[in-house]
Amino acid sequence: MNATETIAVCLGLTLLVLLIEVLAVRRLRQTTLAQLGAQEPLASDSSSGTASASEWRPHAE
Amino acid sequence: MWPNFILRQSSPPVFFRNCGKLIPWCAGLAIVLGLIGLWYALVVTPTDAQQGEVYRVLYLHVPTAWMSMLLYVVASLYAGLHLIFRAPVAAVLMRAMLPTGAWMTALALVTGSLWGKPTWGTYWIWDARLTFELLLLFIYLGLIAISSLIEDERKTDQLLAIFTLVGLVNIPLIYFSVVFWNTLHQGASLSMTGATRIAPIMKMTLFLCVAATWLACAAIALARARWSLLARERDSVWARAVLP
Repeated sequence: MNATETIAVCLGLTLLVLLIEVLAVRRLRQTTLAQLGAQEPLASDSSSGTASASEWRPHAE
Repeated sequence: MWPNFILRQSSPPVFFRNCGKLIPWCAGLAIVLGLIGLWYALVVTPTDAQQGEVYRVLYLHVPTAWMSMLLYVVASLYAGLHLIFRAPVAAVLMRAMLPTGAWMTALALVTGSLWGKPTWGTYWIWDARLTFELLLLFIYLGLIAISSLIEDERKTDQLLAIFTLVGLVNIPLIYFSVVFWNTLHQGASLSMTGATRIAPIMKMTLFLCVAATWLACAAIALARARWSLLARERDSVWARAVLP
């Protein structure tokens, strides 16, 4: 390979990796939203749903 | 004040909301800086006196190599935070760094190898820097395997955090390998204390490429963490409220 081909291959691989990562995150987003959409509604879903930060504390789980 | 601020940012709904605002900025800036960096790397910077045109590969190799180490250090930081505070946000951030870090390590190895053939005369040599970087890739792959093997995410988080912290010992070995051992890989061209050994235009171009790669990795890792967190918290009220 000459220098131009080497640079082109490296650039192509970098862009391909970034594309794979973006598509992986996009798939994760779609899967997550589909899982959420398929769930039964919670009895407490009548709330506004804007949970505040104070609802969570370390070691709370 | 600070504990309250950190506590607030560690709250899953706050993290989810703030990430949603931050990711488009990171991604947008990464694209802009990446395009400017590529323009400088391929067109503006002069040909290297010793290596010729092929040195331009280093504008891709150096940012990915730095990112492979930085992402591991950040993952270790969140591993430590998770072990101390058991925060779910720290756990998802730790996990989110791993695939991106693995890809960056693989890219650093491949681009370095392609640059090595015309420069060193070989694609690969069992040099200390190269070997420890390859070990980093195996560590990343091992951690990804652990994270996907066990069903119970919360139990796996602990194990993953411990193994991530154990693997951290490899990072100083990579960084200082060119100092500790007599290696074929050259020493650092940039130093915070010593004199810079590259031309200012090349240094600026390198920083543009590093900044673009850092922002792209940040956007991807944050997006992965954001959606992973939502999946993990799918039974909570705030997660249900995300759906339109």
